Amino acid sequence: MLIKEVMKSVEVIKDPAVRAITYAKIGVELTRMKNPLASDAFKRALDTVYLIENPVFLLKNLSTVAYYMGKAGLKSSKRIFQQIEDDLRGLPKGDRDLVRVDIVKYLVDLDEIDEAIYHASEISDSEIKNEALLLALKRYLFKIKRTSTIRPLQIRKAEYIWQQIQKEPYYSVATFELIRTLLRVEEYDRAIYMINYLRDPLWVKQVMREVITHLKKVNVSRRYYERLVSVAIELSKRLRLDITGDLIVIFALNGEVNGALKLIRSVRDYNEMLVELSKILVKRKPDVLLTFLQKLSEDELNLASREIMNYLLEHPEKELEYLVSFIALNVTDERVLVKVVNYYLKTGDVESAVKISAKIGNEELRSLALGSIAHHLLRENRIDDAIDLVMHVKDPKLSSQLISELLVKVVRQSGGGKSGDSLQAAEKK
Amino acid sequence: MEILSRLQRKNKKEKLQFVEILLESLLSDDFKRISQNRELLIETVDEMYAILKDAVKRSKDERIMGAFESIVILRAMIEEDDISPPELLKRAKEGVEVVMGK
Repeated sequence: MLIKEVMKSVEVIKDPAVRAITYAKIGVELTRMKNPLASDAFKRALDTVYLIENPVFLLKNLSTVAYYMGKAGLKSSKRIFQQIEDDLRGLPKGDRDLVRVDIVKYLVDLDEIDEAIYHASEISDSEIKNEALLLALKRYLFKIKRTSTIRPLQIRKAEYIWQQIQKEPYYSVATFELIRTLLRVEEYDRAIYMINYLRDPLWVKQVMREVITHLKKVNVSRRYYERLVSVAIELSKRLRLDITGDLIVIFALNGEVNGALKLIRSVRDYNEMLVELSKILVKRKPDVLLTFLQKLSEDELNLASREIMNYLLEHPEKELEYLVSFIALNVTDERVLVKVVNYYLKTGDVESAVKISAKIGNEELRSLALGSIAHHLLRENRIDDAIDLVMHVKDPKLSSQLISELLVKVVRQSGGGKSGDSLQAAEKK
Repeated sequence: MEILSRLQRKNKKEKLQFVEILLESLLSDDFKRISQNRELLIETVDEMYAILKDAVKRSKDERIMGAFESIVILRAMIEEDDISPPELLKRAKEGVEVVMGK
C-alpha cells in the first residue's frame, strides 16, 4: 500500500529527468525487496525519460535509467545501452562523446568491461576517449580483490583496458594505477614487469618509489629487489635519460643498499654518484648509512667517508658518533682520520681525538691532527696538556706556531685578572 | 631553434602536468596512504618542489610562484623538525648576505 502511494507521489516531481531517475532508483530498491512492482517502476522511468525534449539530455538520462536497470539485474539494460549507441549516430560528435563518457562509467560499474571498452573506443575526441578509458580502468582496478578467485581474469581485463590507453598523461597514470593494484593484490612479479612499460622518467621515479616502499612494507623476498634493479638499469638505458642517479637515491633512501650499490657501479660518473649519495644519506637517512658503508670497497669507503666527515664537521651530531667510530676503524685514507679527530674535538671528546691521532702514520697529517688538539686544549686553558702534545708535533712550521700561541697564553694567564681579560678583549677588537 | 623551444615548452608542460596529477592524487584519499610512509611523502613533495622551482626560474607567472610557495611551506612542515621563525630569519639573512658579497 505504502509503495503504491510512494509511486504515485513521484508524479509530483515536475522535472522529468529527476522523476525518471527517482522511478529507476525505486525500481532498484523494490528489486532488492523482491517486490513485483519493480518492473512497473522501471517502466514508468522509461516512459518518463522520453518526455525530455533535449535529445542529448534525454540520452544521458536514458543511460542512467539503463544503469539502474542493470543494477537491478535486468538483462534489458544492455539492450537499452545498445539502443542509445544507435540513437547517438544522429547527434553531433561532441554531444555523442558526452553521452558515451557516462555510458562507459556506468558499464564499468556494472562490470560490463567489454561493453565499456567498446563504447569508449567509439569516442571521437582522443583526449576524452583516453580520459574515459582511464576512469574505466581506475574503477575496475578498485574492484580487484586479493582474495578473489577470478583475480587472474580481472587482471587480464584490467590490462586489456590499459592497452587501449595511449595518450599522455593518461597512459602514465594508467600504468601507475595498474602497478599499484598489482602490488596491492600481491602480484609482485607482474608489478615489477609492468614498470618496463613506463615511458616518462618522472613517472618511472614515482613508480619506483611506490614499488620499493611497498615491497619494504610487506617484507618480500630479496629476489624482487634484484629484479627491480635489473628493470631500473634496463629503463635507464632504454629511455636514454639520466634517471639512474635518481633511482640510486630512491633505492638507498628506502634502505635498499644492495640495489643502490649495483646501480652506482653501473654508471660512468661512479665517484661523483657515490659522493652525492653519501651526502644525501648522512643528511636524510643516516640509519641506512652504516649498512651502506659496510658494503663498500676500500677506495669507495675512503671517498664516501670524506664526504660524510665534511658534513659531520659542519653538523657535529653526537648521535652519529657510531658512524664516525666505524669510519675511524675502517678508513685507510689518513686525511679522513684528521677529519675524524676534528669531529671528536667538536663534540668535546678529546680522549678519542688523541687516540685517533695516534693512528695517523703520515707525519704531516699527524701534526695537523695534533695541532688541532693542542688548539682545543689551549682554548680550554689546559696548558700543561697542550705542552705535552706540542712536543709530538713534528712539522716545524706547525709546532712553531703552536709554541708561539702557547707561550702567549701562558703569559696571559700569569697576568691573570683584569689585565689578562682586557688583553683578550683588545685582541678580539 | 624553433623546434628546440617547442620541445622545451612541451617538456615544461608535461612536468607541470605531472605535478598537477600528483597534487590531485594527494588531495584525494592518497595523502593518508602516502603520509604513512614518511620517506615516500618527502620524496614525492621533493619531486614537486624541484619541478616547481625550475618552473619559477623560467617563468614570470605569479601563479607558478604561488604554487611553489605553498610547496615550500609544505616541505618545511614535513621535513624540518626544528623549524622556527628565528631559524628561518637566520637562513634568509645568510642568503641575502651571500648575494651582497658579505
